[in-house]
Amino acid sequence: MFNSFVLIASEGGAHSRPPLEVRVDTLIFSLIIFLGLAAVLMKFAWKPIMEGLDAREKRIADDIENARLAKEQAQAQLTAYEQQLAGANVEAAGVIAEAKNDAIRAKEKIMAEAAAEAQRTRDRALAEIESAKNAAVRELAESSVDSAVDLAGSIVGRSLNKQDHSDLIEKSIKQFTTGA
Amino acid sequence: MTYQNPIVEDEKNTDEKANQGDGHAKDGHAVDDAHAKSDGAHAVPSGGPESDGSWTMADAMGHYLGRDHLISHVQDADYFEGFGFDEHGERNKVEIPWISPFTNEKPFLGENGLISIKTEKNDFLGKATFQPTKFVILELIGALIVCAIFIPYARRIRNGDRPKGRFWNMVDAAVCYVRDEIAVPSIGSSDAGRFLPLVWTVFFFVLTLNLIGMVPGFGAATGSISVTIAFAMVIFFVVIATGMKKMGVVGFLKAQAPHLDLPPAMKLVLLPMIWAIEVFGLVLKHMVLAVRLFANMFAGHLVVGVFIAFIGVTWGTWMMYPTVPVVIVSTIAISLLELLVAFIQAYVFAFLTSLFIGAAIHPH
Repeated sequence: MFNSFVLIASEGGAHSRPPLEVRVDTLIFSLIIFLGLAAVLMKFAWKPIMEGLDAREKRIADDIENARLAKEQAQAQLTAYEQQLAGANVEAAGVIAEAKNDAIRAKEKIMAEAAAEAQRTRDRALAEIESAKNAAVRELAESSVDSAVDLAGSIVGRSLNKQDHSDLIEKSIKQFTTGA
Repeated sequence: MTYQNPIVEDEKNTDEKANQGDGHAKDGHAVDDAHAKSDGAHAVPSGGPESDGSWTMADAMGHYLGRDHLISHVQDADYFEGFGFDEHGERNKVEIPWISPFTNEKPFLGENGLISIKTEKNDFLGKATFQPTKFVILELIGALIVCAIFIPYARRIRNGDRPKGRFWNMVDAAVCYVRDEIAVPSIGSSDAGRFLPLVWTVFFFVLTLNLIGMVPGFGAATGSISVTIAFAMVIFFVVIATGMKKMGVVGFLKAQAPHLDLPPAMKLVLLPMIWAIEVFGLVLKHMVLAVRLFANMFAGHLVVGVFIAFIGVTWGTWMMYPTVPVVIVSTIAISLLELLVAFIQAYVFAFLTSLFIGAAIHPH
């Protein structure tokens, strides 16, 4: 009943049918095969393929949307960072300017203090010098007076009492101071 | 100038050729070279029409370039051509069995019912033997190939994943091309999804059958008008059903005639005529769909057959030396053209299918 493929010799020469001849059985076989193929592919291929393509399109669309959102988010963050950076720059410039001012003020203060200290030191030194000078002059005058009194006493032959002595010293200092 | 039966010559001159060492044997068309050179003998598959069994070149041309010989290699048959030759010099054939669970007789499509045993009365439909032919087998092979490609492809992309590998990417590109460049522009993006399975099936099945036709020894099933009519019938019924579903039976039939701004009297006369022409055109364009595919595939293979037949015509004469290289180069060139035609015709068939469906959905 079910013949197997057999290799046989042809019974005669080649004979052909008209090319446009329609074989009804071939047509029916072709219809069955085409519709059967379409049915099988519909269930096992085309439907999953359409679902897969739709899922892929949705995934790509979602990815694009997510990328767009991420870009917008990144742009917003970038803008915020740029604003923060700009603020930080201003703040840094303010800090630097303030620091400079502080430094200038500190410098001026230190300079003023140093100058005042130097002046004070100078004044103190001058005062000390003056004091030392006066002491020296006084000591020199006293010494000179004493010497002169001694000399004059010896010359005039009399001794000066203590009152004479003091008057003479005062007088000599005044003369010396005036003369100086 | 005589031709010798190559098989007989081959057997007779075996010893002689062995001694001479220059005998030719190719696909059974063996020829005694020395003999061919001396009197211009040709190798032909069987005894020639002359009284002594010899053939002239005109006989060889008549045989190899004859309608029967050429068309028998291109059209459908109840057998596959096998290897080697029989005692008549004809190719051995692998007969395709017919299968019937009811009878050992070949069932025929006859007037006594859909299937009946062949009688003299129904001999006019003797072609409908329900004999699976070469093209039917090739259609089955083509269908299996299409399933073997697209079912695994479907599994790979089912979850929306990208296909991996060159082959699957190529398949993916083809699937998306048919959808985006053929179906959607012709049918419309909103309706294309419903008809995509049909367009995909048409394109890839026709393409596969066309490409199977490029394999030597097989044939293009789409080179048979019976096969292409079957495909066109499916398209036709889909178009009619789609149109009637969209507009209703009466609406679809009315839509076949265009709107005419004519006086009522003239309309009464002209409208039925125009309607009949339009309906005839609807049927005709689906017939043309079948004929176009069949004619392209049939003609292409016939051209290849004619080129190769020139080898048979000149075999054994001095003319075979320039002819064979020219034929080989020409056949390769024509085959490359056939490869292009295989894709173009699959595209055209799928594109027209989409256009007809689109026209049925959007009549004006």
